Order: sequence, then structure tokens, then C-alpha cells
Amino acid sequence: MEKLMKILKELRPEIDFEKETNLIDGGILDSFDMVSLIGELNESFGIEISFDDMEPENFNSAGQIYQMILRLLNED
Amino acid sequence: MTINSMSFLVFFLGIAIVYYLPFLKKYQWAVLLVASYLFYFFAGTDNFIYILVTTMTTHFSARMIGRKNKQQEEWLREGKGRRTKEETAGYKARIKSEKNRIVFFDIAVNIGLLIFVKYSNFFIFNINRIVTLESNIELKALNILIPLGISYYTLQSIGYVLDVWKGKTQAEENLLKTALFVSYFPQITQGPIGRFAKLAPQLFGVHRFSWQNLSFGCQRILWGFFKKAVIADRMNSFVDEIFLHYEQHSGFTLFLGCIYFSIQAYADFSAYMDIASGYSQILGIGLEENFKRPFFSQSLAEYWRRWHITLSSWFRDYLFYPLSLSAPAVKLSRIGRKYLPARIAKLVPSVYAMFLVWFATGFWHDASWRYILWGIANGVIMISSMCLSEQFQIWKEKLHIREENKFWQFFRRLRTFLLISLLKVFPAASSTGNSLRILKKIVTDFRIELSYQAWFPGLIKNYLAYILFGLILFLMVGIKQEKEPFREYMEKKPFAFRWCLYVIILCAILSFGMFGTGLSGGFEYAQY
Amino acid sequence: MRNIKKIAVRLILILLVLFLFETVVEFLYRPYNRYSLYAIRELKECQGKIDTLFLGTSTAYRGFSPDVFDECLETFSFNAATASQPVDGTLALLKDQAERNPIERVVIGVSQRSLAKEEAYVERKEEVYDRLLSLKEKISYLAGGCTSEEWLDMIFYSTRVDKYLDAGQIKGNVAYKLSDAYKENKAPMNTYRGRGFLAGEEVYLGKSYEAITKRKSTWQADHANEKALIEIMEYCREREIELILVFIPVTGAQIDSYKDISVIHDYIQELADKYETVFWDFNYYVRLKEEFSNDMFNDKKHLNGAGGMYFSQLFAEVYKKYHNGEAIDEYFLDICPYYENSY
Repeated sequence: MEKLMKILKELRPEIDFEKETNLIDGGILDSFDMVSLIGELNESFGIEISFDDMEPENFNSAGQIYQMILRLLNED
Repeated sequence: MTINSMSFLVFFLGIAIVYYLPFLKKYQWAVLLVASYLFYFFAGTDNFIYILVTTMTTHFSARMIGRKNKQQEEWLREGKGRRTKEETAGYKARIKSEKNRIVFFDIAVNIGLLIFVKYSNFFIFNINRIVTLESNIELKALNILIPLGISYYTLQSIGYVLDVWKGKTQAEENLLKTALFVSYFPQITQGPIGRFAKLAPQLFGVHRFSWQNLSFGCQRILWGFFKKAVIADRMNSFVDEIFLHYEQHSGFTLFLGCIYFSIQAYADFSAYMDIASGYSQILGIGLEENFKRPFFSQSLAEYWRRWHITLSSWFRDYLFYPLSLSAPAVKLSRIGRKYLPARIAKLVPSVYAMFLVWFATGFWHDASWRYILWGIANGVIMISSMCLSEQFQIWKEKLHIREENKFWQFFRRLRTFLLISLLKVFPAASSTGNSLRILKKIVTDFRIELSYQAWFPGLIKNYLAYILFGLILFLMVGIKQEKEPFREYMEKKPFAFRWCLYVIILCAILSFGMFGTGLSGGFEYAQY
Repeated sequence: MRNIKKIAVRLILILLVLFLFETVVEFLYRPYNRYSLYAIRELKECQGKIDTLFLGTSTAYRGFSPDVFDECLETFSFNAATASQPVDGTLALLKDQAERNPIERVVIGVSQRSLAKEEAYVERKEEVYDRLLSLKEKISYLAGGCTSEEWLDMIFYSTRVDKYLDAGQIKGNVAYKLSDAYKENKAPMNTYRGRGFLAGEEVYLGKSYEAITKRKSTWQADHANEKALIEIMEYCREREIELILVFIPVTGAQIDSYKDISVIHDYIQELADKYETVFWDFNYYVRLKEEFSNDMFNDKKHLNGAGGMYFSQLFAEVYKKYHNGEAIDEYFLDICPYYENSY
């Protein structure tokens, strides 16, 4: 989780990721942010986020992103 | 019959009455299906083969993929804890490749059909150009009549199949219901491009007549008619004239022409959306919103999140994301990390995907080089602003500009609006050559003039007054909407105020509106 | 039920507002110096009394003077012809008036152009629509003769106004429409002579013809117009209304521009024979050349005031003889007199 928060902070320093739960539906992260973020996550966690996982409910909050990472780590 | 015609009004009235007959409650969706095909027929199509092919492929692909999804679920549930990781992964991979094959087939057929009817002439023309340099062989143009709304319903259908493929939605079992989803009449001619998860439950559900739906629907239709008749159609002939005889105008007038065109196109397209959504709301079915006051955007990227939203979000979800996560993008980004500074390297997959998406967006609109140029120009501007954002940040700090500064925001809005308008030179001109010549004239022959003729060539002064009246009201509503939803604002106002506004709009449509050609003439975006 | 009441109340409110708005716009913008404004008001006043109806195009409202005809035959006639009247418009006007008046005879000035034309301009349809008095006929005319896009133009006068900011027009309209002359339905121009008759003051100055050589004509009636004309004839027969089709005299120049007027003549004659209707072609009138010289005309094909009165007198005379069962053969040749030399 710490590693994730660090990545998120680097991506958009001005956003409070601990509280925000509407990252996608609220339009806070745009598509470029998403692509950068996924690249970062793939690289640092050694997972492969695919097109299937590109759903708002996987990315709306830091918690959800974390859940998804755990799930993907488990699957491999 | 277009959706803004009087005959549609009569048609719709009939449909709505049948739709709300108490004993047909369970069959409301069937009424909609019949209405959709009737509308499609009245709108001038007698060739149903294209839409039927799309309906069939969509339905059966989605159902087959849906079965695979279920099969996998059952397999996983039944063998829970008994199978090894490798076994599971292998099974999943097998199912996935089977699903991929079906999706690939579906997309190939539907995109193939779209390309065949929409782009065959474009390809033939360009092949001829290259080939005839060396020989005399020439391919004949096919001149297929483009089926109404094919660009829109094709994307909507593909989106649905991909949603099932992702496991996001269940596949529909009833072929007729799929047929309704593909052909739902308020949106078939030019969108909005709906998503199955949101639209389908509404289409297939039971709706009770509600006073609120009726009154909100009517209000929206009224507003749509106002924008269409008073702004869009009033401006139409005058704007067309500027671009048709562009040689006679100075660069300044042509630049103004681009601005007018961009306003006119917005009024026209959003008017359609209001009318379509209004009609649909009367039936209790909410359509996706396609616009969020795009001209208040502060950047081109923001503009594309607020203009033709269902199209850009379709391209984002079904093209941009898959492309930027695809193998070539990942490879590119690895190479990028080696040779480029880290900040830029991160953008590599986005840039790659962006470029392709914008090429496709341009090409989707129309099979011509000017739309491709227009798409690429959009892409290039956005990519460069993304890459240069750090430099801009430095400049801003040097100049002590704060983001919240009202003037700065206004400047950004104005800049974005002018940029959008300038890019409209591609859709506005009648050919690629003309658009480039107009652009050249704007750059080389630009001197500000003050005469009426330079500002509004050939426009009768009375008409200018009508248009200005329309635009001012349009702008005022837009500014209000930026702050709070207009409906809520109106709800708070007294009954008399609201009705006064309706009456003013109604009377303005009748007196300031343009009909004759306007009402029978269709909408610009229906051609795409 | 509550919903229906709610909808009905609002619908009535909207209609009321629209009616008010339309009335104001029409008062402010309908030009006071056009004859049709007075003709329509007069038509309304005459309801219930009319026994003879003139219909047709602009040649007809300049050709038939109800005053002259009535004086000769002691009838009560009205001229409801309109510019380029579409044939289905003629039919609609006939039905409308026949429902509300003891109509005995109808005289239709046929026109080669409106018979041939496929689609009439919306302005021409408006003229017909404005003269239709019963709601039933108005609706059936909208449903039958017009595209749904033209409905707006017909129903709402406000959509026909082009220049809302023309203060001069408003001033002129308001000033005249509030005057006593307007209340007495007096038109400001003296070309309008009442009950739909317009007397032109110009004199045609074009070339005079002695003889005209026929050329090949490709004139053809439009199918829909033919159908409407047949329907008119059948309608009159059913109701026992006497129908007379008339080709009103035109100048030599106009006859020359037809290339061969006998094509049109023969076409109408054939239809008239088939449906047992009377057809009098005054371009086959014995003394056409002598009596209808250029000074009888306002322009190439429209009679002027003097010409219109003269023709009305002639027409009344012919009709009287016909009505009394006398022979009228002496009035007409078998050919247009302009062609005689070419034989």
C-alpha cells in the first residue's frame, strides 16, 4: 500500500488519494494519467493489468486499486 | 422524416399513446422495436440488410461469449481448491482465446461493413490516383448509399460485445431485444452512442407514465428546436456561403467564418441531442449526455471530454486503453525508458495510442483526407501540450500566473475556443485542397476590418438580430448551467417566470426560426 | 386521470398564448396594402349568400368581375381565385364554400402553368389556406396538399414574417388598421374592386401580333393535377353544381410563348367531354384579336381593369345565352384566331 501511495503521489501531487473515492467517475484522473499509472504499476509490482481490468470500479480509490493489485498478484 | 420534423412529432405522438396503453405494459419494448424500424423506414431507408447483419452478428457473438463466461465461472466454482494454479491459468487462457476469436470475427464483420459502405469510394479514389500514374486502369466508384446511422450503431454494437467479452455485462438472450438496442429510434441517426449496461435495462423495462418525464421532455425538445431553428438553421446558409466562395473573402472574414461554423455546428448537434433526449425522456428512457458546454473548456483535451462525449469516451475505452496497454505500446515504452528522460518516457504509450486514436476519430467522421488531417491536428496539439506541460509550468511561475486567476481562466477558454474554431476549417471546407487554401489565406491575408460586409458577408441585418438573440440566450443558459444544473435553477423559480420563459422560447422559434429548408433538412452530424 | 387533466389545462394555456401571439403578429405585420387581406374579410362577410363562385389563378381574379356578372344575371358571386392557385387548392376552396353557401355554379379559370406544375410554392398554398374557412377543410388541406414542413408556415402567420424589426412596416399597418376606412373594409389602393376582383391599372406595351406560327409544344399536365381536376368535375356533378371551365384571353405574346395553344386546349376539351363539363376557351373567341388587343392587358397574360370588365361582360353575355338554352357556337372558332393565317 505504501508503494502504491508513493506512485500515486508522484503522478498527481495535488490530490489527496487517501480520501478521494471518485477518481474516475469524478473525472479527476484523465486517460493519460491512467495510462501512466498502469505503466508504473505494472513495472513496480510485476503484474500485468490488462484491458479487462480497465473498469472504473477498479480505479475509483486508492483502496480499490490496492485490491486489484492484490488480486492480480494472487492470480499469477 | 427527421427527428425535428412535424411529421416526426405526429409519428411520435402515435407511438407514445400506444406505448402507454395499460394492456401493452409488458410489451413496451416491442412497441419501441416496431417504432424503431418504422422510423428507420420513414427516414428513407429501404435497405435493412446492413442493420440486420449488425444485429445478428452482435447478438450471436455476445451470446456465444456470454456462454463462455458462464462456462468458465462454473468450471472455476466446481473445481474450487482442487486444481493447481497452472491448470486454472491454462483453462482461462483457452477460454480467452476462444472468446477473442469470436470478438475478432464480430469486429471484423462490423468494421468491415462500415468500411465497405463508407470508405470504399475513398480507397478506390486513392488507389486510382496512384495506379493511373502508371497505367490506364481505373476502378469504378461503387457509390453505395450510406445506411442511416451506421457509424453510430456500429460503434454502439461493438461496445456491447466488448463489454460482454470483458465480463462487464450479461449477454442478452432475446434476439429482438438486441435488435432494439441496436436500432432504438431517437438515437439511431446520430447518437448518442449508448452503453448496454445503462441503456438496455431502460429499454427492456416497464415504464409508467410520469408527468415529470413529460414536462422535462417537452422542455428539452423546445430548447432543442430553439437552438436548431433560431441559431443553427439561421446561420447555416450564411456560413455555408462564406466557405463556398472563400476566394471572395479576406483571411479575416474566413477566420470569423470558422468561428461561426464552430458555433453553428455546436448549436446544430446539441439541438439534435436535446430533441432526441427529450423525446426519449417522454418514454421514460434517459439517453447519455453528449455535451457539457464544451466551449467553456480550458484546454483541447478538456474540450474533448465535454464535446461529443459518447464518441470520445467510446474511443477512450475501446480503442485508447487497449492500444496503450497493447504489446507494441509496452515495447515502445521499454525502448523509451532507455533513451528518453523519465517524464517523457512515461508518456510514450499514451502518445502512441493517442496518435492512432485521433487518426481513427478523423477517419470515423468522414472518408477524406481533410478529416484525417483534422484528427491528426487534434492529436498533435494534445500530444505536444502533454509533452510540454513542464515547460508551461515554468513559464507560468515566471509570469506569476495563478491557476485560480479569473483572467487567466478566461484567456485559456478564449484560446481553446479559437483553436477549436480554427481546426473547424477542415470540416467546414468542401474539400481538402480548399481547407488548406483557406488556412493559408487566414495566415497570409489577415487584417482586421470593421465593415459589416467583412464581419457578416451577405447576412440580412434582421437575421443577424435573430441570431444574436438566440446566441445571447444560449450563452446565458450555458453560464447558469456551469454553476448549477439548469433544471434545479428553474425549479426554484416561480411558476410565472418559468412559463414566461417557455412562451418566449416558443414564440421566438416561430418568429425568429428558420423553417422552409431547415425543418426538412437534416442535421449535420447525421452524415457521419 | 389527474395527469390527463393536467395536460389538458396546459395544452389549452399554450394554445391560448399562441392564439394571442398570432393575433398580435398578424395585426402588426400582415401588410395593409395587399388586396388579399380585404378579399378574405369580405369572403367571411358574404358567407351564406354566395351562389356563384369564381376560382382559378391570377388570370381569374383579374378576369372575372363579380359586379359585372351579377348585374347581368342577378346572382351573388364571389371571386376566390388566388395567385398560381394549385388545382388541389381549387378543389379545397370549392368544397369549403359549397358547404357554407347555396352554390349553383362554379367558374374555373384554368391555367396551363398550374396544371403542368408538379409542386406549388408554399406561398401559393398559404393563399388558399387563408381563404379556407372551415376547420375541417383546413385540416384536410394540410393533410393532403402539403408536406408536414409546410404546416408551420400555414398555421402560424408568425413564421411567414421575414423582417420583424421593420418599424416602417409596423407603423403603416397600425396606422391604417386603426382607421375607419379599415373598419369599413376599404382597401387603401383603388386596384381592388371588391369580392376578390383586382383591376390592374397598367397597359401592356409589348409586341402586337397579327399572326402566330405554331411550334412544337411539349406541354403536359401533371398527373396529380389532372386527378384533382377530375375530382372537381365529379364533385360538381354529384352536388348538381354547374361547372364551367374557362380559358381566359391572353395576349398574342403569351399565346406565342405557349408554342401551340391547341395542345392545352385539346387536353382540357377532352377531359371536359369525358366528364360532361362545359369548357369555353376564350383564346378561341372569334374576335379575340380585335377585341383583346394589348391595351386590354396589364401584362403579357393578365387582363387589366378595362380588359377585366370587358371580358366579364362578354362572359356574362355568353353565359346568359347558354343558360337560356340558346346556341353559343357563333362565339368560338375551332382554332385560335392568331393561327388562322397559318392555314
